[in-house]
Amino acid sequence: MNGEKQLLEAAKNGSHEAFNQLLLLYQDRLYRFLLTRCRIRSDAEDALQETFVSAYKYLHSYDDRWQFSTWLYRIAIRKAAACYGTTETLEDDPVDDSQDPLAACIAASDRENLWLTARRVLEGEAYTALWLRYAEDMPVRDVANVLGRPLSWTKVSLMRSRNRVGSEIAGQDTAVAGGR
Amino acid sequence: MDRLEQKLQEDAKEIRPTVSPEISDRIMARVKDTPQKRAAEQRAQPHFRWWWASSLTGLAAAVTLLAVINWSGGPATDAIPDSTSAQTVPQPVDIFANPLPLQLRRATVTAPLEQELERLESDLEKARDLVRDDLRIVL
Repeated sequence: MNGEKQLLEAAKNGSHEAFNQLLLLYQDRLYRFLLTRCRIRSDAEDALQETFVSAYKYLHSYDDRWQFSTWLYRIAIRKAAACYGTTETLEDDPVDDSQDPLAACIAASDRENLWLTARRVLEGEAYTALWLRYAEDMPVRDVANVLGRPLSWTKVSLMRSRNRVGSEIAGQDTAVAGGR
Repeated sequence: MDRLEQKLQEDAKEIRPTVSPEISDRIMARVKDTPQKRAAEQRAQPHFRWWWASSLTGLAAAVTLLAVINWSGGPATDAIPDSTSAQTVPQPVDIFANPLPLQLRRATVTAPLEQELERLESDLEKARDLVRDDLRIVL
């Protein structure tokens, strides 16, 4: 983490090399997140690019009381909103599975990946909160910061999302058992 | 941590995309073309705006105050000379001997201020002429 601070300081002073190191540190995590929020792969790549360009441009406004990743996710959410929208679910506007960038990078399994289920049943902000908490292992306080929501709202949203996904899986299991 | 939370974490690990070196290069090329916004630049603009806003507000308040004082206040009264009642010699003044034909009228300000000021000046000029004529008749 100390290394990250030094990189940030150097990048603030205009060092492209230092910023490149930061890019390499965070690009895969952000790209994984953006793939869940964009309809097609090229949109996710564009959003990733715009996120890092904005981060570099406004690096002086970064407040180091926050985690750098928290700040990056805040930017990424705004960029992702431009390519996906914040409130739609895939139920409203289904995407062809063969083009879905998230489905394409999930290893083959005998059951549906929970994140595909979650994306189908949750709205944008609730899904993002769930992703940041469990896929990124972010503390709830940081999730609230990224979303710009109160802590209590974030906790309630996470609880509701877990219940929603849980009941969806239970429904699927019942349907599979009934089919047999 | 319950079973669902564990499953969510496990399934997140199944998602393993990697950013190709071409995309990283493309991003860095864009970054190199992008100038950084300096902290001073970011702060200068709001500060400048704040300075202008406060100056204009102050100016507007001063103009309003002057207008109120000039239009609603009566004529300035002379300072009372510092003297005791024993030193003051009472002067018999007949205040009703030559009453001035003053007419007090209420004016409603409807036009823009500049126009109102012009009207006020022309009224004042007329009043001055009337007073001069009256004085000539009296003397």
